[in-house]
Amino acid sequence: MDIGGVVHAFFDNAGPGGVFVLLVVGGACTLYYFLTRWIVAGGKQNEPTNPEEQPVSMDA
Amino acid sequence: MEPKNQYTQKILAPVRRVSTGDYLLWGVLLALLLTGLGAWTWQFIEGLGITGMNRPVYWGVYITNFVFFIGLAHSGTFISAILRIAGQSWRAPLTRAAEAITLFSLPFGAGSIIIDMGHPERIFNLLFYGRYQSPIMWDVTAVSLYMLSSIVFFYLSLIPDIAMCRDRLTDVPHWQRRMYEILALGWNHSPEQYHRLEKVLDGMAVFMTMLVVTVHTVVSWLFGMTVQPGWHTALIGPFFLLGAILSGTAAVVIALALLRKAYHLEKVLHPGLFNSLRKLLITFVLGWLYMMIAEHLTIGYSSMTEEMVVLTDKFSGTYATIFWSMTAFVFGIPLLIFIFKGKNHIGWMVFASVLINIGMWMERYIVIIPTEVSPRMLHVMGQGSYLPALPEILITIACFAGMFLLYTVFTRFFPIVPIWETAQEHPGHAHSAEPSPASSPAASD
Repeated sequence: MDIGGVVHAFFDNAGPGGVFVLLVVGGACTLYYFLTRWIVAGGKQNEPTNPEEQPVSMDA
Repeated sequence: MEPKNQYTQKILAPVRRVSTGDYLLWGVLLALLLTGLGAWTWQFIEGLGITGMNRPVYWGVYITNFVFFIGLAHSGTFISAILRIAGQSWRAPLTRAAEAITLFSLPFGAGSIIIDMGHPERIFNLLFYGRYQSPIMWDVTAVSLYMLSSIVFFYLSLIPDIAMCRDRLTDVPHWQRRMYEILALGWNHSPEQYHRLEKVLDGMAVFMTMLVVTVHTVVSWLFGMTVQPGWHTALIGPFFLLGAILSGTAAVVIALALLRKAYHLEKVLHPGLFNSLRKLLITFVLGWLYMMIAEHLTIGYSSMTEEMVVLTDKFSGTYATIFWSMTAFVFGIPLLIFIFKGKNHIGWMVFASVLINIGMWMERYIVIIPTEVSPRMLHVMGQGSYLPALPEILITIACFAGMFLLYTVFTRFFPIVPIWETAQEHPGHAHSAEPSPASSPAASD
């Protein structure tokens, strides 16, 4: 595979530059979305469990 | 468990109500913004011919504004990210005020490029036909990523305080409560949330620091990659970066002093913070002088014909008044004030910071215009001339008014001092042994 040719084509052609910008910004948006979700999800670990979701006691 | 901060009520007080004075101020700023919008419409209809730009001066005050606003935007990242990495806990009370400057100056920086294009829809040409050889593509990548990352960095550290607004501000209008509910994302102040938040902010701080360097270097390369006199130097990147951090930090001093006075936050934004910023500013001013000497000495010593035309123009020609005023505003006067008057005198600090920002705007102007007026191919292009025309002046005023408007509106709906970061005790402290900065006003002395 002619890597040099690919690099040359990337820098020399009209179009790939715009796609690259979109990929960078789009990738960052996706990463930040999941990071935010992960941070906020930390609160669910401390929430009191819903009584309806409690497992049925085996003592009965 | 909510963070325990003795100043919570004081910090939340400005958020509780909007005064008549606020509406008046917003009205004036909005009028200025709309005037600028009108001038832009006029320019859109008539074309760039109504501006002062001509052949060979293709870049005028719009590009000056672009570089200036992007530079101003470095304040937030410097205070929040770089000082966070350095473990400077005194920075906590001023992080949000600084980050807000970043957030609200970036749109006007990036927007200045679109205004300069004449036809805003041409921005799509970059996406459809973008060629990565061009520095403008590097700039679009860096600035858009910086803008996005700044918004996220700002928002993440705001979430706990929005949750506090949601829980405490029950007397605000319904739409405002609803806004807090949505933006808080169900935050419940659990230790794990704070732990994760600190972790992400620490990681992002490293990334943001790299971005800050990249963004302003790439902005400078718009000039440096050409072979024009005064621009084609490897020093232009660090010179731009240092100037940006200097003007950004000076802008933080102005914003803090205004907030302190307007919202009676004297105890939270104590003089110790200003003294710490004063020391930083002394360092940056001296660094800026070093870069100035290094750049102009290198150019002057080589005595290349095209370079000397621009240099002479700056030192003793058409632009001498602006050049030497700029040097006095950025270096001479502020340094004397910081050393002899600034300590514990916030008024003097603000005066020096205003001078620095006026001087830095002039510096951006003096970097761009003399080179454009006397380009390398002077024999082909001819000597040019440039004076900003009315639409350019109106749009410039509108950009500053717009930034100020967004800032002031923000401070009336969200706490401008981070409550959780300055809290004496919050659930995340179990994971972090960092002392509370707000509780030790003299710590930074």
